[in-house]
Amino acid sequence: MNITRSEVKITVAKLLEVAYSKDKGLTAKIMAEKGKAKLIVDQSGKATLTGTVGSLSFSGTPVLNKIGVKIKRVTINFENKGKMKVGYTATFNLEVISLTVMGNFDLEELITSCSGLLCRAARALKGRHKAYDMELQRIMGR
Amino acid sequence: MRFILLLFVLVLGACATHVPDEVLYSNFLDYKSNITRGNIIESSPNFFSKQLLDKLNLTSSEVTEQLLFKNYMAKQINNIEIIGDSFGCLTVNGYDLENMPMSFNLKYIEVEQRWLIDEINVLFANNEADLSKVPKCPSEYNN
Repeated sequence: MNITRSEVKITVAKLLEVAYSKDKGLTAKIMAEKGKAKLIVDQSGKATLTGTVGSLSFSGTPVLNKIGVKIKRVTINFENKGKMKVGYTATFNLEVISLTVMGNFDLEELITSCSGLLCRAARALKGRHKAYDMELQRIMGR
Repeated sequence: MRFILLLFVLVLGACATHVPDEVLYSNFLDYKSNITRGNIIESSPNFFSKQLLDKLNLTSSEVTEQLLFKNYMAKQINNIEIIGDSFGCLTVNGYDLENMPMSFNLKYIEVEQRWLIDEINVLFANNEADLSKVPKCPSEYNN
């Protein structure tokens, strides 16, 4: 079965979660700054989150491997419209097609979910917590 | 006088029934109705460009599913296209299986008087207002 809209949205949230776990302060600063930010994952799995206040690199491979579909490149354009409301356009280049998903989320809600009990419970498990995925899906929209 | 009147009626009739050419869309409809999981290896060259297919393993289920991208859309709303010198772009707007708005943005190239799909973008929008009213090429979403 092909990758779905929901899977793309959850993946966007998980990539932000990895950035956040690597550098909480800088990720929050980049994302909370009003204006544009960009997250790119190249073919080697190297992820870079860039905004006006700086940039951060981390590995996107563990997140992308979970999807189970070969992904050549990910480009996510974020736009913080103020008051923690972030809109995004995420394009996943697969082997044949590219998939673009438009969405928006509340940054505060996403950050809270990743530092809350549910996130810690999910991290305590070796695999992924289904309830956590559902929570991310709720935050990122249908 | 009667001849002029007849000519006027004919011209008016022709104008009323004139439909803009939908070269790419008719090609898309052909793809949609004729390509299946069962015939994908033989049928693909009729719908996709050589450069798109060259790098692909058509026996891989992952590749097959992506070539059958038509299955993402459950209901069509409209279609718009633009054709240039050697390529054209077609946007098909509609709804996915969850009744959420989506589009196909396809780049076609002309090879030996046939239009073949060369690039494919599947767009999932949040609202119907996000769906494009002008044809979009897949490259517009790849940066």
